[in-house]
Amino acid sequence: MKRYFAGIDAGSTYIKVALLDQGKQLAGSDVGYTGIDAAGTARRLISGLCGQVGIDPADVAGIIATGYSRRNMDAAHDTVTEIQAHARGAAWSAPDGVQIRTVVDIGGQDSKVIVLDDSGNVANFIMNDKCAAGTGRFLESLARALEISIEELGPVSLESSQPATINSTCVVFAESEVISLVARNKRREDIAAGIHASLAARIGGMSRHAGITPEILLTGGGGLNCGIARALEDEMQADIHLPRYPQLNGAIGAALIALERDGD
Amino acid sequence: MKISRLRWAILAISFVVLMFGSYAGLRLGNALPTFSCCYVNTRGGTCFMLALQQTIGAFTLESMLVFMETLLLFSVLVIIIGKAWCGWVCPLGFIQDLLFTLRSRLGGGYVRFTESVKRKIAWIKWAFLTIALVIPVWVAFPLFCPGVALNLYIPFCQMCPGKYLLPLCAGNPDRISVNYEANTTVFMSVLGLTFSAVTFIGATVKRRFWCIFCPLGLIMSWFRRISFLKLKKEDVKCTRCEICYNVCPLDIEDVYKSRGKRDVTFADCNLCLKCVENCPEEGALKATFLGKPVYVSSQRKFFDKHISSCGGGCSSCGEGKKEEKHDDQQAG
Amino acid sequence: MINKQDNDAGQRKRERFLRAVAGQAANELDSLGDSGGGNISLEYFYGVLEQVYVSNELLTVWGPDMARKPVIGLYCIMAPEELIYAAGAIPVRLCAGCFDAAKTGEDYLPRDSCPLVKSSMGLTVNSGLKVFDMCDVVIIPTTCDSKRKLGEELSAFKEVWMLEVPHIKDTEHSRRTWLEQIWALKNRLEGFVTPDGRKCRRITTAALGSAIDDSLRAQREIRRLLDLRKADMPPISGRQATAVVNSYAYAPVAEWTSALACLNDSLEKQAVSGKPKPRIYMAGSPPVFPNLKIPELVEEMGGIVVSDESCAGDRYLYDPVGSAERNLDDQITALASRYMAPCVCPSFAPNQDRLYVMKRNLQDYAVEGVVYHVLKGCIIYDFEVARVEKMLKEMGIPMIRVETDYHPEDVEQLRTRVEAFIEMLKIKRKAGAKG
Repeated sequence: MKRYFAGIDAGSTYIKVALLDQGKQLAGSDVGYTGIDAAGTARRLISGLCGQVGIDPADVAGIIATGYSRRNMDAAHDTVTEIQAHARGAAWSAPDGVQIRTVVDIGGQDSKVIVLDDSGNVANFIMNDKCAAGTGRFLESLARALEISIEELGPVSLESSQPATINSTCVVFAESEVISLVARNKRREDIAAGIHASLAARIGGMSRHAGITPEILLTGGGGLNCGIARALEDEMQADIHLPRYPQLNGAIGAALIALERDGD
Repeated sequence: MKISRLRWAILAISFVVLMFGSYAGLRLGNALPTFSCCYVNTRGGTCFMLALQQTIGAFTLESMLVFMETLLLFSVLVIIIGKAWCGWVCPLGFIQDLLFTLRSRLGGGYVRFTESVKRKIAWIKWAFLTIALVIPVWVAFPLFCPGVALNLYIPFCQMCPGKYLLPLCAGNPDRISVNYEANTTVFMSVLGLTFSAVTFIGATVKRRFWCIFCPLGLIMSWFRRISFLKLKKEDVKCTRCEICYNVCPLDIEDVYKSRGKRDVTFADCNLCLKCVENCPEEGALKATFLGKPVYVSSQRKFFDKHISSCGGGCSSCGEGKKEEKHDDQQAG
Repeated sequence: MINKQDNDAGQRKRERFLRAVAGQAANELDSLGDSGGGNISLEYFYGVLEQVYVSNELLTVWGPDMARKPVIGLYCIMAPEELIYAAGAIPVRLCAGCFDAAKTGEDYLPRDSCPLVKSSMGLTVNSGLKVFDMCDVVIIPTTCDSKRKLGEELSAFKEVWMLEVPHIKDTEHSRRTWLEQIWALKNRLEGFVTPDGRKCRRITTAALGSAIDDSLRAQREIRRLLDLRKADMPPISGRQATAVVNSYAYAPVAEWTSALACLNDSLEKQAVSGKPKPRIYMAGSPPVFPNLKIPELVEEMGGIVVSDESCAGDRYLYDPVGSAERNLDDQITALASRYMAPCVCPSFAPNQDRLYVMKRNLQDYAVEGVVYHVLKGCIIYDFEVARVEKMLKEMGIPMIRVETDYHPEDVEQLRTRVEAFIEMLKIKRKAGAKG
């Protein structure tokens, strides 16, 4: 009988779950709003996935939780930090033949840069969880100020050829800058590009601290935004690889760790 | 056995052997790298400075061959234990150590030579060495003032504190006098008496006062790279606590200050090993013979030595603590 | 009438403050107690900290001496305690870790200054904590900027003696100047009389020798404790060891040494089971009771702090006094040497010696990872992060820099970082074992 392993990435806004089989194939995945009852949401998502492949949740061989609310996940057998989870997930998520040495994770409320050694283990990491600069929140607030939806923000920014300069990486001050740029009739595309450039600058600063080593993988909700990838490439002067499931990298990594620990 | 005790013992035995050795028929040669003074009639062997000046003062082929032979023997003796001859054997060193200890028992203070002072007086030992090497040449070939040259036989020995102090310690006060034979000898003996008095007083208030001026020590220091006995340091263990400097009779800073050197046998060092004895860091300093450690700094021994009274019982839980045995109750 | 109201208001303010301070200390002590070690004798040390910060009752610690002798407050580890003991006075070290006091301190000192200094200011200005109030004079060395200016600010509230510490250690000039400072301190102590007539006595060779012996015994016991932590399974956690050493600041040396001897004896017999934990070295600004936030976090997340370089921790009592002869000159020279020469506080520049000490410890304790703790505002330790990182890279030891202050608000964020770091070490160890 096939054995399954699950990973739960319990973020503050979204809970992501991934189900892998023993061959490291993705059997299923889901994303749900965290809500007030994070543990309940996770259980629900896991049940749903197990239903899809026709097994009972109790039969899942290993479940590992990561993310901000990991310790609340009663469905999980153990926890790991997001750093470990994203590092593990990177090799799986990477495009074929690309050896990932740096993972840039842009989440809703935090961002991190993880540098890997050549065995794929964590060599160094820098986290920004103290302010909104460099996180999804930065983009959300500024998209609102620009009156575009967050889904449009990326594609719109790609149409710019001359990004506006937004000096501040702080979301509060950047918002004022955006408003004044709008008032000065700058093109939406350019402002959108400027917003991404500012975010990339913040990430770039963090990365240099940790030591940028190619190849670079962009994960997290930020990985869904093509504008960020482009802006990061300009900032870090290197290729940015996008995984197929950027939001799931943490959950997949956690599931992989469950798989590795199986039998320990 | 504590190293300082061993050292005192060996210094005392050497003193007896060198000052009175002839009573036992001892003839230890005349290439000795130590102040076994030629003016001590009952000596067991002779200081190399005599042979050095005598042979140069004759400057014949025969005397030069004797010089080479003596120098060779001298070199071998120095290579075997380096300047430990100074720290462990020298009778003049012994006397200086005695004077200094006497003062400390009587309760006076003492002085040290800082690096800048040492730099300023460094020329004096070179001056003495020059006198010992160059003036005998003049004695051999008295091209000018032959009358003066005549009286400058073994010129360094005439002004050496050993000439006046050592016979005194061997029971012969006759040398404490001005030599009125000629003007030159008056001058030399007054100089010698002055140096002796200065050394006597100096050694009381400064550890091994004479050694910083000693030309024999200077010659011996040239062998330190190839001597079998060395002082070695392990950088990573040294905390730069300065204790080795505080106990060093020659005021050597470089032992604690140096980084990146394994061999810390410096020119002034007389291998008394007080630094190793007082170093609180396990293995930071050690004396090695042919590369093998023979005495290594020990944390336990440091505390045993410096805590002068035994620890009391462990009062808070009521159990008595084992009384620790110490070799003696005093420091130093 | 108005005075009474003011008095009452002042009294309430004091009580509130002391409650806050006591609360933080009590929580920390509870947490320490919970961290295990029930069968080793830590009660004395926790007891001292409890008396000082929670019950605020010093007589239990010092006995009737406290009422008879002058009490000298100290900062850092530059002033020789032996002189103070020999002069018949009581030394207490006042470097403090109270968050609430730090908040008060911000009213007087820049917000960006070091929290240790703000905390000490707060505890001095808000009278109430006896260990601070009872100091008749406070000796402050001119080590770092914050300490130096603290001295000036405190002098409005207490008698302050500044001790000028040369910042460049290695010259003849600095040795001479420092020795002069120590002699001057000795003379000043001898002549010190408190307003209510308690006085210090003349410092004799015998008295100083006895005080030095007491220190040496304490130093010998501390080395025993440190050696025990070199074991594969250390019998005591880093946090407990830090609490033990922190308590030295407030306890009489002979009693403290006896208690430590008992502790060491019990630790030697202690059998420790379980899997070896990642061995961590704590570098950087000192964690001082009750702010043991970082060692606590490290050990909570599964590591064990086997060694540190904190001046309130492993470095406090490490270097011994070695006088050549038993006379006053030599003793004072030895004290001057001991307190300056081996000190590797980054307030000295150059400070290359620190790397040697660190290297020795990293080797001796088989350290797997370094947590470099920088207190906000502690710029001197921050300056040295780069060189330490470089050395660690050459040695193949991972490092994480953690910047924080006394605020408990950032514990969660720190927790994730520290946990990730410890995970990293565990994986590295596993990989090393296989490879």
